[in-house]
Amino acid sequence: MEFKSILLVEDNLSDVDLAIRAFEKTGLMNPVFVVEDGKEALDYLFCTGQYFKRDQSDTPALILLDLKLPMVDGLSVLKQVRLNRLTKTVPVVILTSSNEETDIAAAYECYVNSYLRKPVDFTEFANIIQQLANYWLKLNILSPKPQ
Amino acid sequence: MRQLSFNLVVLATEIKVPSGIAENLQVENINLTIESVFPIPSRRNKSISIALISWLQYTGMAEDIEYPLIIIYPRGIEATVFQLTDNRIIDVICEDDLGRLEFVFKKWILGDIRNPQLKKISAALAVDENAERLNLVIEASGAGVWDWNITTGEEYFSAKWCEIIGYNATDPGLEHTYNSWAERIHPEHKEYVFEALKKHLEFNKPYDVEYLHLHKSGEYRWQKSVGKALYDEVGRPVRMVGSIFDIHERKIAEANLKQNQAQYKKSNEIQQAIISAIPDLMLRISDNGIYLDFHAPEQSVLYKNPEEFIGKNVAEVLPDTIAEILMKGVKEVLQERKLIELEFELPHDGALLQLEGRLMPVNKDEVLVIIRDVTERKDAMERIKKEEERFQLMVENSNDVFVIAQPGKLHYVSPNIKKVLGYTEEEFGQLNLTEEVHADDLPLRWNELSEPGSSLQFEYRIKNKQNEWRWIESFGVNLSHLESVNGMVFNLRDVTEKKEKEAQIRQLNNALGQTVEQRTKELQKSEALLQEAERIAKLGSWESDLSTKEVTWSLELYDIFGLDSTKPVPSFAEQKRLYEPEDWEVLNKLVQRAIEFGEPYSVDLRMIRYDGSKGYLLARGEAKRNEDGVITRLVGIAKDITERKTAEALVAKLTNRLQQATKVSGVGVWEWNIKTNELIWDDTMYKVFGIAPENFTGLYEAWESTIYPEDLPLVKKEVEMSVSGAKDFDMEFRILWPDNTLRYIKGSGTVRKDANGHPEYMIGTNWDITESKKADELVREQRQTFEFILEQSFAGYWDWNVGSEYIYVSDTFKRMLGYENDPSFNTISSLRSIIDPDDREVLMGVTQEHFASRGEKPFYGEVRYRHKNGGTVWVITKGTTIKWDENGKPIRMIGCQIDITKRKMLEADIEKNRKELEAFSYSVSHDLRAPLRGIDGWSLALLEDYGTVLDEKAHQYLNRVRSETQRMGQLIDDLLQLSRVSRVDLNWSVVDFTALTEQVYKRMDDTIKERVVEVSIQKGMEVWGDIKMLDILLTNLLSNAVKFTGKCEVARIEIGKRMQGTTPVFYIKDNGAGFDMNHAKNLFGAFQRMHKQSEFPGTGIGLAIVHRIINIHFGTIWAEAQPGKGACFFFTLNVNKHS
Repeated sequence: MEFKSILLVEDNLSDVDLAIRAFEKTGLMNPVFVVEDGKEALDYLFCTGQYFKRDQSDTPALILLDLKLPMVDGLSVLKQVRLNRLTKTVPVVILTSSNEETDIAAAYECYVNSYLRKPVDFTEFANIIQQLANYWLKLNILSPKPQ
Repeated sequence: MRQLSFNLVVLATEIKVPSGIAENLQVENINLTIESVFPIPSRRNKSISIALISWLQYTGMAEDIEYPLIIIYPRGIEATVFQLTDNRIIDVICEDDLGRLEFVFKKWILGDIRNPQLKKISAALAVDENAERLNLVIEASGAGVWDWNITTGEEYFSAKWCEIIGYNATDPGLEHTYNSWAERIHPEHKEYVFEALKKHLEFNKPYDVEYLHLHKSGEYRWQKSVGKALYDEVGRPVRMVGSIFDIHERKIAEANLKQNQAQYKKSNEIQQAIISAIPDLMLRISDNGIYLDFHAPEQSVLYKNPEEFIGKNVAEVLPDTIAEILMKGVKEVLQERKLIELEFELPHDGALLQLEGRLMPVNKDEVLVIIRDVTERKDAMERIKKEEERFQLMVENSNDVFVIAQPGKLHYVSPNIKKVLGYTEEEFGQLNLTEEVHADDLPLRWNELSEPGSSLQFEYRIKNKQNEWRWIESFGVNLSHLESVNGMVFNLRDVTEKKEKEAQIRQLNNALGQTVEQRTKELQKSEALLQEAERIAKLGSWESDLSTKEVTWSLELYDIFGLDSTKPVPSFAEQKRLYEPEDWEVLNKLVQRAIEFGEPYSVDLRMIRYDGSKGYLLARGEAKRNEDGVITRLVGIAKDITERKTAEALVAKLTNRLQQATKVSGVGVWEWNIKTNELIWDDTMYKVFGIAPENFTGLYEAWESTIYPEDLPLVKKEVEMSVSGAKDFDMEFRILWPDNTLRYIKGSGTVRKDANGHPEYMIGTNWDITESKKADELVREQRQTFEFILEQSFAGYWDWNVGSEYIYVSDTFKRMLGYENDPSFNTISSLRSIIDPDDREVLMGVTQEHFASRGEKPFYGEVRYRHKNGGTVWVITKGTTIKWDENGKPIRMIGCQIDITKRKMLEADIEKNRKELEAFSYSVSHDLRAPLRGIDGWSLALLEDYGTVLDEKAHQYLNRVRSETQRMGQLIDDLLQLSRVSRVDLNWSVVDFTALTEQVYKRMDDTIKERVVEVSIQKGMEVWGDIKMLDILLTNLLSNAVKFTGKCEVARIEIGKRMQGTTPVFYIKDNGAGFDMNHAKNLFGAFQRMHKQSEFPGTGIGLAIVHRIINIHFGTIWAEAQPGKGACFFFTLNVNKHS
């Protein structure tokens, strides 16, 4: 069985490692693909730049997106994802330190699927990762592949 | 062939409807039958409409009748509007007018053809063929037909109609409308014609008028118009048809005839009058003295049968002496060929007639002699000479002026004219009266004195030499038939003061009516001149010869006392009963003094007339001396002055009444005798000036001394001006009462002049206007204060008459924008040109809304102006419309504006700072927390992955690292919240504070589920605020209460509200650890903690957040606590709004 990948967009490598660590604890088999800025995320998703050889139809099962990103910020990435025919149905979960109301509201304006705040306490953080992976990758039924 | 049927309703059985009427009424193509005749029995003189209604109701036939009805009603009944009762009724005809049936039928048929339902006759007759035929018939008679649609105003005029006023029927210059006709009517006839039309339309009065109508040629021509209106079923006139005739020639002929008749009559009368009016004897004498002709009026004493003269010689008929004179004259006339006058005496019936002859040549050898009997005139002249002295005396003693004049010529004016009008006799003679007499009183009514013997009293205003108006009452008699006078005699009396009194009386009470005298006594003899003059003046005169004791009285003097003039003059002793005893004593003394010392006298006396009635008399007397200087005679006059006295008494009474009135109204009245300097005050004056009457000196200075020193110069000047006659006294000034209180007085006064035009006295009023002045001052003061405040608050003021280009802008306003030295900066366009275009649009919108809502929506805006130096000036402009017209249009707007540039700059700075702070907070929340998560995460990883190789102490340290990082995370979160509460925009609403508290408490359930906590939350608390902020507030306060009661066995937390005065105070009370108030100075500062971290953990930011939320809710928070005895936090909301 082939598992669809999870795209993690996160510039803080410490957070990336902790996230992967938390993810591994879930026992899920989906590969986690990490990009460190917004531009790279878009290149990956739309198979441009360094990812021009990638198959665009191979969309991730879940995108975990930080808001504060170098080059292109998370909100802009979200907008592009939602505008594209192939990616618009992919679940996107914002995973960020910010709990600013403006950020939360803006994300939902752009049809984000979920908004989660990274707590300082790692136990809690691991707990969150575990729950969201369980939900989005096990419970949730994805949209059929676009024709 | 059309079949038409009628019903005839005959309202009275007596009326006979002519048989075969239908057959007589045949109209082409129509077969007419009268279906039935319904005779209704009715008593005569009963209202027809009642008869008809009862017929319609009670015969039971009403519904069956489907044909139109024609009602025939008996004579002697006033027809009412029948159409109202039933619209089937097409007309109503009187039994005397049965001939009209034909017309009614035809009219109906024509109407019926067009409109079988018989609703309305509306289309024009002219379009109908039959009507056209009818027209032709009518027009053949020379009449023009018109047909007026009253509803639309259109009016059809037939060709003949048009022709009558000079138009072709198709002439585009003639509009076929009612107005076109109406406008052509001669302006003087319009009212009459329209009235007739109105009467016809409203009351059905016949319309038959004759008027002048404008012809195309521009001249007005006489026209006769008759017409009749047609009514709809509810009785409204909808149409009127009629005809006009040109009757111009007839009218002119009539007028000429009338005029000729009148002229003829007049000239005939004149001739007759002339013939009968010549009083003279006319003779024609040949050069040798033969009478050729003789005319004499029959009533003349000289009348003789003409036959006694004609053909005879002068000497045969007249005495020798006269014949001699006459013949001498005849010769002289024929020689000199000019008119000569002769005087001679003729004995006649034992008397000597004085004759005057005028001779003039006629033909070559004939002389016309006109002889006039002048006996009476001569006698009169003699008598007048005798009376001269008395007359002169009377004239001189009288205040009246006597004038003898003819139109255009002044014969005599008495010297008194100087006294009355200031002119000398010569000056008066040269006056052009039409220029001196008041325009309203021209022409002088003496024109009405054209008939000899007629008399007339009239009044007029004339300018005296000082150019003041004087009222003159004049009594005039035309004595032109008396040769000694040969003109009109007038008595002029200055009645100006009387007039003034009259006016005063009229104004006050309307009590004194005008007395109108009518005198129509024929004057026959020349001595009547004096009598008449006396009568005019109501003057009697007398003369007493001291040596002979002979006393003569004029007739008027008899009249004055009501005595019979045929009786001898009463003796001096007898005269006693003609006066009141006291007055008689006075007169007696005066007469004695006159006799003894020659002292003239003049006195007003109370007289008792013969009939016992009482009156007043002005008696004057004067002694006359002979050549030796011995007093021989007394002459005098007496004048009935009862009316004057009565009037004076009435005036006095009214004056008293006036005084009463002024007393009540608080108006003081004063009179200042300028000559004596005496000042008289009425009671009110004393009150106005706060002076007791006994402390008043009664001199002008006493008044002046009360005046407030500062006002004195002005008052003095005003008094001077009014005394000099420049203007009436009228001003406001201040006075000081004896107790030094300052009062405001309004004073007015007017100066009266004596006969010589010198100011004599001044009268006027003073009243206290202090109260109203104070009110004025207050208003002014408030205004000044208001302006001062505006100026001090750096507000610019503007005032605009809405719609005008000019706008008043205050100095501050100008200074604000850099235009303080630009006087032309006061127009709407100058303001508009420097307002920011975007703001201009907004401001215009606001203005429109302000006007449209009638001021409900305020005129308010923050706008940018371009300062003269190029910079931007932010202002708040605010205004309101203070005056609207009755239609709700704005008339005047005022407002002010404040320079808020600095504030705007600060706001911009604050905004910039806020943005920076936001960016800072954002990065803090992200970037500061990420490493903490790393520290915590990796510490945990270490514990998980290498826990087995670490000893107990290492485990402890790593756990310490983790708890510290989490505390730091909390600290960052709290700080972020603190910064957020200050910068969010609040959403105000009514918040159910009780429900919110319950909700917040519930969220804490988790943390306290192992504890015993008794919470009481008061019901029904409501506040005005932002629900999210209040949530944070309660969360912080409640979690504190929960935290600090953590060590209690039973925790008690109470949330409630109580009133402190009128202010609601909320509180949260717990029975927890409390704290020491001595160390609670900075209880609400950030990072202030009252407990050890080990006892009660916390960041010390919670109360700082609470404090800030209270602040942004305009409230206050304070606490009461004791260590170990719990704490209570009190707070108010929305109370400090105004500070």
